[in-house]
Amino acid sequence: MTGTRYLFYVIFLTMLSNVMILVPHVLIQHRFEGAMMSVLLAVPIGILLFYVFTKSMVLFPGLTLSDILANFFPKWFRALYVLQLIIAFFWAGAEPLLAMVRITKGFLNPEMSQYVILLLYLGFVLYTAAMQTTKLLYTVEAILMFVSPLILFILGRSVLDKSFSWVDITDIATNIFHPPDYSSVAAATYIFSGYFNLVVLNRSIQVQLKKRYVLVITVLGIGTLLTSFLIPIGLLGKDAVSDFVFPWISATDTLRLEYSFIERVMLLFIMLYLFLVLLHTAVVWHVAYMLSKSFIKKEIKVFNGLILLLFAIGAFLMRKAITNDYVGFQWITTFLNVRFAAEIILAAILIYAARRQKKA
Amino acid sequence: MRKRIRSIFLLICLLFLLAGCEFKDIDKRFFVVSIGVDKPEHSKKKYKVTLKLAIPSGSIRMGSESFQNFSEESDSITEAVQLIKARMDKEADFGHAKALLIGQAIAAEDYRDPLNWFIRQRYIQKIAFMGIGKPDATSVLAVKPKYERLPSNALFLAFGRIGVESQYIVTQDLFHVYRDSKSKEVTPVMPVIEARGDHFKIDHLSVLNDRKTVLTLSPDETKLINILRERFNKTDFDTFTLNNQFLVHTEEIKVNEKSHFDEAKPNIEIDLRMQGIVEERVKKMQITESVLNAVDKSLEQEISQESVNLLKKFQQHQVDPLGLGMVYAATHWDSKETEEKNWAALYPKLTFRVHTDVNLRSPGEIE
Repeated sequence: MTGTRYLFYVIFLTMLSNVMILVPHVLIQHRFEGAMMSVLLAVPIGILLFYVFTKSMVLFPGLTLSDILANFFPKWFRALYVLQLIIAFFWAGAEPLLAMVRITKGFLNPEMSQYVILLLYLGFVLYTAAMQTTKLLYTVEAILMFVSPLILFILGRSVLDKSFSWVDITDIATNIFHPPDYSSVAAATYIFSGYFNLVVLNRSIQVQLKKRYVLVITVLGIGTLLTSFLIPIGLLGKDAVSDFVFPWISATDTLRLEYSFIERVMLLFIMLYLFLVLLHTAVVWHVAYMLSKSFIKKEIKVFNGLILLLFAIGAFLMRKAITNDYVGFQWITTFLNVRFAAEIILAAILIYAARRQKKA
Repeated sequence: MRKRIRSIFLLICLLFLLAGCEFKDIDKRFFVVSIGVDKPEHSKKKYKVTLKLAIPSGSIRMGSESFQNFSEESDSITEAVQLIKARMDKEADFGHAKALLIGQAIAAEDYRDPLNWFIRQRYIQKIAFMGIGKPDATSVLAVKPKYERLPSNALFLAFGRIGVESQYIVTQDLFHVYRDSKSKEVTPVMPVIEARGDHFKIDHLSVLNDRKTVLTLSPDETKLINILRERFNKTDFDTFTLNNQFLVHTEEIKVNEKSHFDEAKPNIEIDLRMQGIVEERVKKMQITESVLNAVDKSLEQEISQESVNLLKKFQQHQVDPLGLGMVYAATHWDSKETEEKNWAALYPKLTFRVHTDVNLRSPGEIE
C-alpha cells in the first residue's frame, strides 16, 4: 500500500500529458464560441466528479472496481461493464500515444515510418504497463520529479516572452458570455479525470481524502486548463492559432532561448512531452491490463502476454485507421465526448454501490 | 533472467532502426542560412527564390566566411527549391534558416503566399527574422560584409538585438508577422533591409495590410513606432529651441495608453514619459537649468505633434500597426463579428491625444 500522494501524481500526470494535444484542440476550435464559459463550468463539474468518485471509492479500501461490481451487481453486468471499461482505458492511452507518434514523425524524425516509431514506443509502454502497480507508481513519481520542473520552466518562459500577447487573451476572456457547448465542457473536464485510474489503483493506494487535497486539485486544474487553452492563443494570436495543426508544438516554436544549448524550445519541449505521454499511456494501459486480468481467477502467464499483444495490435489497427490528421482529430473529439458521458455513468454506479455498502 | 536479457537485447537491436535513413553526416549537408523570395524581372514566372548556403570552414575569422547563393525561378516556391537542390551535391538543411526576406516587388503586390509557405514548412523556425529586401531580396543576400564571421550572421546580430541596438531596427519574427496578418484588428510591419554594396542599411519599416505594403515610413517615424509598439527605449531625438539645435538621448521611456472608445468623441490618449540627457548642442552655448527646461518643453511639443501625425497617417491609410483594434476587441464583450464590424466603423472616427513628459536629468558630463 502506498500513500495518497501517488493518486495526486497520477492526476497531475493526466493533467500535464493531456493539456497539450487533446484538450486544447477542441477548446481552441470553440474559442469564440463558448470555450471560456465551458472551462469555467468544467472546473466545478470536474471537482464534483472527483470528490464523489473518490469519496465512494474510499469506502472500499483495497478493492478494485471489478471486485466492487462483483459484490453488488449480477455477473453479466459486471462482465459487460468491465469490458467496456477496458476498451475505454485502452482508448484513453492509445489516442495521445498515436498523436505523439504523429508529432515525432512530423517534427523529430520525418524519415522514419510511423509504424516503427509506434513499435518503439509500444516497447516502453507495454513493459511499464505490465509492472507491478506499486513499482509503476514509483516510476511515475520519479519521472514526474524530473520532467515537471522543466515543463514549468517552459510554461513560465512562454508567459514572460516579449511577444506574448495579453491583449489576445483578454479578447478571448471577454467572449465569456457565449453559452458553453457540450464538446468543450467534455474536453475541459478531461484534465481532471486522472482519478478514474483509482478503479484499479485503489488496491495499492490508501486514499485519505482531505479538504485541502480538493483545494489543491482545484487550483492545479484551473491552472492547467487556462495554460493549455490560453498560452497558444497568446503566442500564435487569437485569429491565427486555429490555422495550426498542433497549436502547442507551434507555440513552443515561437520561443527563443538565446543563451541555451538549443535555441529552439520546440525540440526540448517535444522530448519532455514524449516522456509524459508514454508514461500516461503506460499508467492507463496498466489499469486496462489489470481489469482484464480480473476476468480469470488464477494468474496465467500466456493470458497476460495475450492481453498485452492485443493492446499492441489494437494500437497498430488504430494507427492504420487514422489515415490523416483530420481523421485523427475527429477521433479525439469523439473520444472526449463519449468519455464525459461514460464518466458520469461510472460515478453514478459507484455512488449506488457506496450507498449499498453503507446500508450493509 | 536469461529471457529478460534476450528481450532487452532484442529491444536494443530495434534501436538501430532509428539510425537507418534519417541520419546524414554534417559534411553531407548544406545549411541554408537565409531565404529570399523575389519577383523575377524578365520572365513571367511567379517567384524567384534565392537560397543562401553556408559553406562550413575550419577557422572562424572575421571576413573569412564563404557562402554561395542559388536562385531559381518558378511558379511555386517548392518547385524552385527543388530546382535548386538539383544543382547541389549535398542535402539542403533548412533548420538554420533564420532570415526570411521578401522582395520589395512581392511585398508591394501580395506577400501572403510566400508567408504561408514559410509558416507551413515544419523545418523553418517560427522565430526566423522577417524582412523586406530592397531593391530585392537576392541583392540583400549577396551582400558580404567584411566584418561578418558567419554567413548572414550580420543580419542575425542586428535583428536579434544581441549585437547592435539601433532605434531604427524593428525585429519581426515569422510567427509575429503571420499572427498580425491574420487578424483584422492589427496590421503587420516588416523592416526594410537595403543592400548597399558591402553592408546593409536597416533604417525604416513598411506597414502592410493583410495583403500588401501600404505605407513606407521614414526613419523618424520608425523610431516613434519602435517606442510605441515595441517599448524600445534607447533613442535619440533632436529639437530646435533658443536658436540652437539640441540632441537628446533618452534612457527610460514609459508608454501608457488609455482608450476611450465609448465616449461621444472616441479617442485614444497616449502618455509618454521620458528621461534623458543632452548629448550635443550644435551651436556654442552653456546649458543651464533654464536651458534644460526649455529643451524639455520643446521636445515635449515636438514628440507629441509627431506622434499624433503618425497615428493620423495610419488612420488615413486604414492600417493599425499598434493594434488599437485589439485593445477595442479586448475591452468589449460582444461577439467577434460584431466587434470587427464596430471597429471598422469606429477607427476612422478616432481622435488621438498624446501627452509627452520629458525630464532631462543632466546636460551630460559638462554644463
